[in-house]
Amino acid sequence: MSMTASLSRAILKLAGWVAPPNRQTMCQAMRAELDMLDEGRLSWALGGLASAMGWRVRVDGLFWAAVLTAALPIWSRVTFRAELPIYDFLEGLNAIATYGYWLLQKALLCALLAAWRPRLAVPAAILYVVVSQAGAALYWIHVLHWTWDDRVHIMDAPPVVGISANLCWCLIGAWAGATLRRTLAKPSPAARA
Amino acid sequence: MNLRQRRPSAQTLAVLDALRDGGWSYGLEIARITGLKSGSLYPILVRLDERGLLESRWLEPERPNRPPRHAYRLTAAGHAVLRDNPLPVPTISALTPKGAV
Repeated sequence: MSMTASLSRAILKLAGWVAPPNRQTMCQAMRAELDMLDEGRLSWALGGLASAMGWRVRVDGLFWAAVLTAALPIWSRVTFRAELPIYDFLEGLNAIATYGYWLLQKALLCALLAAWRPRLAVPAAILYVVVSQAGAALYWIHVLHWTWDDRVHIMDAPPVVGISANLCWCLIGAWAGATLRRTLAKPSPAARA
Repeated sequence: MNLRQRRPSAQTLAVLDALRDGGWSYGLEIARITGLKSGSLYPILVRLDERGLLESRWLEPERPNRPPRHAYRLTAAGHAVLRDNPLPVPTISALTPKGAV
């Protein structure tokens, strides 16, 4: 059995664990179909896992939302610590390098979102910028107790320039992700016919 | 609100249309006809099953040493929904992976 086949079977087994009891039949059905596939096994298995996760979220999504919300502060602390060496390195260069790293992160996130759902690329990019900037503004106002005056700068630039730069990078990332997805999408048998 | 009151999505109609002939079809066959991935197809099949628009059963494998496969076919209610909501031609081309994303 090839590695892809083994991995696909493992993914669908995981889907069986994730799915609620009343969806086990569908998970078994997806596993049975996997054995008939000659190519695209991994894609089939990942789709099955996505379906299982969707069914699970419908059953106890509220519980998992609460768990994730509780875990978010811990997760942000872990990722922050993981990024410290990167920031140490970037600080040794200059501020532009740090800003470039931020923008690259945002563009990559938007590219991933767009690659997943190209039709949502632009709204997702705009929503991401709005939410992230609103979060930053709330932090400035309620935690740092800043007033909206000349002290507030985004990436050493006036807010309108900083936000515009963020938005542009997010849109570029989203466009790149959507284009990549469309380029790599295989035509269906119906389209080939 | 059920499928009789609200027009089904293009993907749902494509699945119903793929089962139009009334015979038993496997998930892989439906996926190949509609161009839908498993992540989209199976949630649709579950919804249609719950709404009584299709029925499912395990069929013995056609080849030896293979597991039984889950097959689906339209019920009378499913045929009625398909009759009330014919699949528009542009929808077929929109359901290629490029258009469906």
